[in-house]
Amino acid sequence: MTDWKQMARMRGTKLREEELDKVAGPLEALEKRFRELEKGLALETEPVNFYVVPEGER
Amino acid sequence: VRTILEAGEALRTRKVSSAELTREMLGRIEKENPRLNAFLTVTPERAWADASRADAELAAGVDRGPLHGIPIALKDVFCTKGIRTTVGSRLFGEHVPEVESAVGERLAAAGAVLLGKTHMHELAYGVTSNNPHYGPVRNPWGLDRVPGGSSGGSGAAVAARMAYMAMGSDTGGSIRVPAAFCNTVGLKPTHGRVSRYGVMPLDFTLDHMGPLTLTVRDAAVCLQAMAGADERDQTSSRRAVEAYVPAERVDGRRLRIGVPENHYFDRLDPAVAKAVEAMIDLAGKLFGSVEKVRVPDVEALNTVGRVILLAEASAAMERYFERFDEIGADVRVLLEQGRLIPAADYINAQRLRRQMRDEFFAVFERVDLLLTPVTPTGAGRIGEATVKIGGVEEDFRLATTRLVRGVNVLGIPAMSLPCGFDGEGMPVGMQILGRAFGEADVLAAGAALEDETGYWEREPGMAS
Repeated sequence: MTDWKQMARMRGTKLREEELDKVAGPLEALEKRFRELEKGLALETEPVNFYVVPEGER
Repeated sequence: VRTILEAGEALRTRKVSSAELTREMLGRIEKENPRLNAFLTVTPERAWADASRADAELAAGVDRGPLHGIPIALKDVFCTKGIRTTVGSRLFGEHVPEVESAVGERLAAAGAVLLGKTHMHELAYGVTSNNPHYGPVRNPWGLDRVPGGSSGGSGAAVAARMAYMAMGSDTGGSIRVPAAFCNTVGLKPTHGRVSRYGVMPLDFTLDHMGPLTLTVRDAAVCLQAMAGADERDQTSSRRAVEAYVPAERVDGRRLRIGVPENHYFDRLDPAVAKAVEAMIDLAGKLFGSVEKVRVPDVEALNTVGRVILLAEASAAMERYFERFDEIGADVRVLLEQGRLIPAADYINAQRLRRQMRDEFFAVFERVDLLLTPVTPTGAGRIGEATVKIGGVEEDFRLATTRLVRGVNVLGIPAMSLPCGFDGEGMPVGMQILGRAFGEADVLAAGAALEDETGYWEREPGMAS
């Protein structure tokens, strides 16, 4: 899993160390769930690029 | 005169003038705003000018429609030309836009009177409206309670009868949550139905604009005035605008109503469950049948929504990175999280979004509408970061958004409708979800239920 605190430091975060816990904790939980979901992606699935409105109606 | 439709009738029969309506609203703002902090900026000079013009036009036989002469407010995320627009942040503390939002333009063209700008969660990024720079917005139903967010000032203003309508923006529940917590109607239209032009973006693909009002028909009147194509918003739909205002007596028997059997009724305050279930029973009587349906994994939808929101919000705010220390602690942490989301994760979130949208839209082949709670609890106390539901402690923000966030990923219309009160007297909202561009059905069902229940008529006592 990702070391979010280290990533934040490398990106030049302005947060204090104790605030970085609040950054990392939720991201760890989010990443765990997201990695499971990614496994269900079919190779041919394209990203959404027009949200709701069919392209022909724009 | 409590609603837009009542006020409109009184204006047209010359029982009241727009100036009198405006005087009453400005008087209520002067009296209540020191306690509620619902408005960040009040614009009496603009309001008097708008009202004077509205009255002169009506006297000359010019009638711009149901919003003509009606006093309204805009959340402080809508740019107002020549009027400070703070977005609830010190970053924009002195920001005076040179443009007007499309919504502001359309409301003005419909004859509405602008009272001012409502308070909000900083940068529209949160659900409490407990703002570190401009103070907390307080809930008229309990001054120690949050009004919800991010459009908390709009919810408080409408609930306290300080405006007939206040606009909100909704990226993960920011119209529906304050509507539920403040006993108002809150309508989030389909993505693309209402122009986002001139609204400070929190996010690019999840932001929606819509009204908070006392009644469903008032929300419909407002949507009618602001819906439609706008070339300045690249996500704006060219689809024709339907007639939204429900009939005086709605016959909803054609509507196929669904109630999710999974996710939406898990981990609710029992009083919320009871209030929503009573409304669903009523729907069964009014609409003929209510079908239990299984919906796709909403927790997964919420996860995808959070990845998209974190990444897009931080992209929108990256230009202010050097000034992040001017942002409140809760929002600063979220922006920092978003800066760390890898591009591959964001793209895969948008791929999962397509997959989940297709799965969810299949539900709307069986039913026209889904009925769910808006939030698992009533309004929490100001300053509380967690909430206990069924003995389990949850993060307040994540708990409050878990029934509403996924809807923004889908882009479908959703409305919060008052449906009762919890054990502590805090309002409870029911959510009505429709298929894309199905606002007319959402509003018709809401009006039919509202006509039978009338929860909107109860006024807050504003007890501490």
